[in-house]
Amino acid sequence: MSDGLQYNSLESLETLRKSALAEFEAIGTEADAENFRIKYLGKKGILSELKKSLGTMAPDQRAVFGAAVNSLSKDVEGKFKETPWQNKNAGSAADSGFDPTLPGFPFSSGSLHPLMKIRNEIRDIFITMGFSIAYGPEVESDYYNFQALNMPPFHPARDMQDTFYISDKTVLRTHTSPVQIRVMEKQKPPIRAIMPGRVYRNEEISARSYCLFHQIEGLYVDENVSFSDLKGTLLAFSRSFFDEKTHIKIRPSYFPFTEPSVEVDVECFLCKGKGCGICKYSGWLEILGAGMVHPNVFKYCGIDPEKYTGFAFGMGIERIALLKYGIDDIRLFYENDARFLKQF
Amino acid sequence: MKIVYSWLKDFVDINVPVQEVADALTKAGIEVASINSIHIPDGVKVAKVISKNPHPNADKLSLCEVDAGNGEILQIVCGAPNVTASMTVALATEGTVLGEDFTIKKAKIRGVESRGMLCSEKELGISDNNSGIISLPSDYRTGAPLSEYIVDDAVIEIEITPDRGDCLSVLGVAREVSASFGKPLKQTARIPEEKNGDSISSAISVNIETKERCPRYMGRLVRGVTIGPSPEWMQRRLSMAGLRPINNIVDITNYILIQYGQPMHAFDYNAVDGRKIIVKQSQSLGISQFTTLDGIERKLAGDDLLICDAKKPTALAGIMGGLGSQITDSTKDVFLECAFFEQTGVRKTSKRLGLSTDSSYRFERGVDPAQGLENAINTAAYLMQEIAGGTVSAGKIDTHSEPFPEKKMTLRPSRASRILGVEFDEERITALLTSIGIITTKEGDDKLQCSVPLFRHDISEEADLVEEVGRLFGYDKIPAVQYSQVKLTNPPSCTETNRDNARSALCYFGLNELITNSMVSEAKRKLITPSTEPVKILNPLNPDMTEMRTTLAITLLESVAYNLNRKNNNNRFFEIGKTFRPDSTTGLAQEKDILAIIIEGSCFPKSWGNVELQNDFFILKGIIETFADHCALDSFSYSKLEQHGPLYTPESASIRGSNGIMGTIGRVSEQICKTFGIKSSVFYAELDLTAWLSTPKPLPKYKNLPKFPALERDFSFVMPDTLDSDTVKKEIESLSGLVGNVRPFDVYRGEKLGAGSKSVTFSVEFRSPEKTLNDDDVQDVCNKIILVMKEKHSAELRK
Repeated sequence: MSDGLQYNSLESLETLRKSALAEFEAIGTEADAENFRIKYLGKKGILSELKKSLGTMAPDQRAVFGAAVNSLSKDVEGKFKETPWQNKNAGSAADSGFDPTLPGFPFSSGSLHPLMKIRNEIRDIFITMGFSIAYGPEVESDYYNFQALNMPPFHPARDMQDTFYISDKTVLRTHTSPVQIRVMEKQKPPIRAIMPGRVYRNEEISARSYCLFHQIEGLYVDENVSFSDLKGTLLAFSRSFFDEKTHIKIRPSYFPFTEPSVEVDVECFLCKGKGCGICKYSGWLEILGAGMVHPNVFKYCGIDPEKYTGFAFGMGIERIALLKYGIDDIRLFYENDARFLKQF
Repeated sequence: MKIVYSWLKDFVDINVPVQEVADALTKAGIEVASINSIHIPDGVKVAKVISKNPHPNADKLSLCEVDAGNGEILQIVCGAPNVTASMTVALATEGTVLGEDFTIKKAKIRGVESRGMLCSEKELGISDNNSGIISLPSDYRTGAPLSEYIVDDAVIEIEITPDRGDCLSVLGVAREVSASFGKPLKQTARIPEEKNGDSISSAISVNIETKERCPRYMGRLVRGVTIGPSPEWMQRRLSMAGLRPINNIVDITNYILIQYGQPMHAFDYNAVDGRKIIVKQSQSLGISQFTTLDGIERKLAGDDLLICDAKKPTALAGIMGGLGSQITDSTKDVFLECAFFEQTGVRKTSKRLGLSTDSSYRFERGVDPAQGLENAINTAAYLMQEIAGGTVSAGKIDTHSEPFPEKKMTLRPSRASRILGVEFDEERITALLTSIGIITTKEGDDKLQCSVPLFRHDISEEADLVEEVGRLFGYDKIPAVQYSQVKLTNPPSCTETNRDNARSALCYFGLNELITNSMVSEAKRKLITPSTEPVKILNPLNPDMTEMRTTLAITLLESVAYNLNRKNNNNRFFEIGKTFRPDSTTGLAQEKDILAIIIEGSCFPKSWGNVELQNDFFILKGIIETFADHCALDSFSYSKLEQHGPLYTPESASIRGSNGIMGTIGRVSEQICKTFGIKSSVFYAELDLTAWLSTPKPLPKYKNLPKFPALERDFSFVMPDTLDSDTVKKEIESLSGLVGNVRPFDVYRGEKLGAGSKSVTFSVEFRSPEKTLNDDDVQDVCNKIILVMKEKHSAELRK
């Protein structure tokens, strides 16, 4: 109050402005800022007192002086609001308490879908092995989905894949294998490609199966590709993806478009083959189907099966993601509960 | 298919733990789904029911006096409907452990003491049959442990791939086991004693009208059979194999089906009109309907194959018999059919009718037309003679009595070596193939002629033989190459790079990536894109998935609703997925790669240091602008949607960018939100990225950094509400080379300005590459800006 009364001329207000601004510039700590605030802007600060003193002035003086006080007050307040300490003080419980444990600004991190993550992990391994990437349509012709893959109409193997039909000649592809045909039609060997994509099966939805899922298909065609190359490639993949010491096991199986056809089991990454809940105590995980490209398939694509040989393989991304992340219900991938998605 | 281990042992002399057999089958390519060991627990005895009385306190229970042997008479409460006095039963005595850990104790059941339990087949672990207690042959000695009669066994459940129809029998599995263990296959077929003087040829005639559909038809006649239950051993084997015993004749045909994989049909001979069997297509019969023995009337297509007598059809060939021709309790004479029906024909009919039977399943996959057929019919007739007391008439019908030609093909050992990656010589190949009955002869240099058994329908060319060589050799023994041919150049895929870039930009922005169903309901598509034609699914899984999506809005809105219902608020999601439209030129679909973004609730929830920031149109637009920036895309242009459709409110715009990018953005209409059960404000955008994805990302082109500082001037214009800020921005930018960035930063509407007007403040940056600009340097340009805005756009500088 006594301070306030010192400033009774416009000149003195200019002096006050200068000193306030100088003090403002000198603020270096939170404590400085708080002192500044109390000194100028507090309830009993210089500016408040000045405003109170206006009432005692002569009316003609009051108009000019009042305007100057208001302008100064506005400037100082405005300046002070720019200081980084202003916000913190307003937010902390006590004026003097700096609480670094308060949460930071509520940005939120996004997430990439677990299926896409697994897809890309698999993709990247094959890219380093020299595989390129190819795509094909999801609405596919019966010819590419079945016939050119050595499954003529009424072939019993068609029963292995419950099919959605768009017309009698068009289906929702049941596997990514038709992309093999499309690639081989367009490109002459050597061919080394992987083909990721969505496939459809007309199966009841349950914890273990969904009406669509995602596959990655692989194809390698050259003059002397053998089963031994297939084994080496899949072993290398398994070791890159799961564990450097992983083993694989190969069982005979059947796909109409490969001969021989095999299933490839990968040693359980969790128990290292000892047996656990994930591998149903077998020590092995059924991950891949594979085989040597059937000569008939080469013929459909105009590739000479005497000159070229090749292997193909395919795996389900969902299956691998379920195993790798320990997820017990495939529907979680498509229900998109944010609490699920944010875990990846 | 279920294979009973003891049955398998009829064919191969092996005595190893069942697990070893299972492992061998797995290695041979037969998947083992489960092994069920059968072991009658200690304490289960053969017992005899002496009397059966109603339980005093329960309607469905009976009170039985049971002779447990050694003079021990026990009172037992039994709930089975089939318990009767004098029945021979399996009694689990006190202390017996059934299953994992069910111990039988003396107990009071509804107030009456019970001292043991009478068991069903399921309770004993023999089969899945739990319909009543097991009825044992009366000659089993009362008091004996049941395990004396029902010895330890196992049931191996296997899955057979569609190419290996020859493995759909005990015999077929035995062949593989025989090859794996190097043990010979035992002969199990029997030949009946034929009665002279009663020749089948005078009793019945068979005429095949379509030889290609039925290459071989065999028949035998068994007279004077007595219908009754089949013997206990046969019933047990059938039920362990998963078949329900019916009567001796039907059981015998089923027994042959499981044993040899050959479906047979037994006709009541006296019901065969005109003593004639004719095999023909339904069109030549002029009928369109046929009732199968399950009582269902089936609609026939012209090429369905029927077994007929002189007057009427009696069976759907290879699939199911007709109503009225089956064996009944009064049947005396049986005509046995044992045929080879061509695979595709059976499959067509079975598929079309949705009728798959044990019989059709095997015909579709191919049965053994040669020796297999003969063994099946002879053994069946033999069993009818032995078990049902029948007399087998002399001779048999056989429409293909001449031997089938051998199936021969050439295998080059060099080819096998090349495909498999292991050196195979002729000797090695011969040893392997002989183990499964393929006879090889040297045909020339690097040529082996292989004669393949006719039941191996899966082997028709060299590649198939190569597979057999690999399979029998053992894939585990083929080495894995350590170094493959290396491809040194592998340029990155721009589609993958672009997609990953887009996804990570949105993820950094705090959006969660979704993967949603691409099949949606017609109703929902009509709600959002009523005028687009969809790709429809002929056989949808359910009414919610009848067509392929034309927009991602449906499933993204569903995801938001799903999360809100679970109290997950403030959702922001994106998906890059496909949409589908019919494409008449290819007959397939136009598939587009669409980026969809949906935001709901607040962008930043209220926290101690900030107020809540609600999501709105411009937050979503900001996300898209930043996405574009991250992906080095030229900035997009936005214009108000003329037709915002049902999805959006008028607060919506179309988006256009280079590389074919286009789309829409806007606030989702209240009506749509309501339909999806969403109460908060939702903003949605969809961009077609198809063309951009396959466009290589351009290299950033370095521009020299400005040498001199910029000068900024603000202009507030009062202008018509309808004038876009973008138009003004472009106008000002075009007026002088000195103008750099033009940025609208304040928009004001108010009464002072009057209706139809707004005030927009633009910050204009002036920059020269040559010097630091001062006021005088830009005065002319400023005047020009004001003039042009006034004359061209009716925008006045605000005073």
